[in-house]
Amino acid sequence: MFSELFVKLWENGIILKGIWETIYMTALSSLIAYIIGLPLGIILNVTDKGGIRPIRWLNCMLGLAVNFFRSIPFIILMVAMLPVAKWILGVSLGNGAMIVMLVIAASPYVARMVESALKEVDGGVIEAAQSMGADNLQIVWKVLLPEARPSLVTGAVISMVTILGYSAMAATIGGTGLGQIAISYGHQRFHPDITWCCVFLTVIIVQIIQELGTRIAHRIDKRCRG
Amino acid sequence: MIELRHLGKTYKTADNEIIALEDISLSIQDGEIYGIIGLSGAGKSTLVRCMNLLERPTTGQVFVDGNEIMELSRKELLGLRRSIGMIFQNFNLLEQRSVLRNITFPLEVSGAKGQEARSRAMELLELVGLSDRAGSFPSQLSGGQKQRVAIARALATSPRYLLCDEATSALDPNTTRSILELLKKINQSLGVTIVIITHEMRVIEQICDRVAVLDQSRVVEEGQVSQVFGNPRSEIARELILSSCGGRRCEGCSLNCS
Repeated sequence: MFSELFVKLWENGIILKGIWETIYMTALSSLIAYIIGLPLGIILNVTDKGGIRPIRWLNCMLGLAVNFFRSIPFIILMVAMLPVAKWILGVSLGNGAMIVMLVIAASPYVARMVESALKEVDGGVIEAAQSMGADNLQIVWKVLLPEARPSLVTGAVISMVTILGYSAMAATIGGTGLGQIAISYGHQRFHPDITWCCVFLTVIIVQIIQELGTRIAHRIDKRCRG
Repeated sequence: MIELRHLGKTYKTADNEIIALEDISLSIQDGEIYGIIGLSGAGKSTLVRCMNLLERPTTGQVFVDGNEIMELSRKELLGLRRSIGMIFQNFNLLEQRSVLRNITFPLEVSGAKGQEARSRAMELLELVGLSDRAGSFPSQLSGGQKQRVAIARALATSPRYLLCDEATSALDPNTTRSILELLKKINQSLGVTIVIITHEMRVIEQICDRVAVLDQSRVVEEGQVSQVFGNPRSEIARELILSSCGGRRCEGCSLNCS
C-alpha cells in the first residue's frame, strides 16, 4: 500500500521529525506573535473611538500598519521579508528565519483577534469600573483582559491553526516540517501517499489544537453555567 | 452635598449639536434620597453621570462637598469616584468574577489588601442578604440578586453617595420593591445620600424625599415629593402621575384623572 520511499522516510524518523518541527515552529511562532500582537491589540482597542482612551492618530497609524501586513499574501510576504530575517538572525534560511516570517505575518493577525475579543466586553461593565475610580491600566488588566478571556482563547486557537498553515507554506522557501516533506517528497518526487500522509497528520494536529482550545475556553468561561 | 449650577451638556455630531442638558441647577442634601424622574431621552442618565464626571458637562459647575469637581486633577477625580458609588440598570457585574470578587473589585482598585477586602466583602454580602452566594457567578443569579451584588459592590469603599441609574427598571414589581427597601435601609443605617434616576413614579413615591422632574433637557419642577405629587404644576409631571395610577382616582390626588 505504501511506497518504498514512504517506508524509508518513516524508518529514518524523517516523518516524526517533520511532525515535531511543525509543532515547535507553530508553537514558538504563536508565542512570539502573541507577545507582539497582544499589546498591539490592546492599543488598537483602547485608542479606538469608543475605547477608554481614544487617540485618533495612533489608532489610525497602527490600523494602517496592521492592514498593510495583513493584505500581503503570506507567500509574497515571506520572500519580501527575507532581508529582515537576515538582519535579525544573520541568516535567511532554515527554521529560525521561518519563525521570523511567521511572526511578521501572524502578529498583525493576532492584534486584530485580540482587538475584536476585547471589543466584546460590555461597555457598561467598563463604565462601572470607571465609576469605581479604576484608572485605564486597571481597566485593561482587571476588566478587559479577564472578561475577554474565553474569546481570547478561542482567538488564539484560530491564530494557531492559521500559523500552522503558514508554516507549511514556509517549506517552499526553505522551512522544514510536514509541509516540506509533502512538497519535496510527495509533490516533487510524485509520491501522493506521502502527501496524503502529511495532510492526515496535519489534520490530526489541527484537531488536537482545536479540541483542546475549545475545552479550555469553555472551562474558564463563567457565563454559561446554569 | 452635591450641587449643580447652571449645568449644560451638548453633544457635537458631524453636522449638528444635540442638547442633552440645559441650565440645570439643583442641590442634593446630605442624608436624603433624591429622585430625578423623566421620560426616556429627557437627559436623566447624562445628568447623573455629570455627578461623577463619567460625562463632562460643557457648561456650568458641579460641586461635591463644596469642591468644584471639574477642576480636580485626574488622580483626584479617581479618588472622588471612590467616594461615590454607582449602580446601573443592567447591573454591570464582571461576568468572569465570582460574587465575592465582584465586591472586592473596587477595594482592589483602591489598593486594599486581599484578606481585608474579602472580609469587608463578606460584611456587605450580609448587609444585602446574599452571604450564601459568595462563590456564585453572576450568570447564576436572578436579576434582583445581581442588583444586590451591585449595591454591595458600590458600597464596598464606604462611599457617602450612591447614584442609581434606572436601578430597578429591569426588575419586576416585587423585586423592585425589595431593592428599594434595601436602598432605604442603606440610607437610614449608613447615612448614604442616594440619587435615584427613574422613569417610574412608584419608585419616587416609595422612597424619595425630594424629586426633580426632567423634561426635554430641563428641570421643569422640583420639590418635596408630597408637594410635587399633590400639586403638579408641569404637564409632564401630571402625565407621569397619571400613567402611574393607571387612570384610577387616588386618595388625596388633585388631578382629574377620568
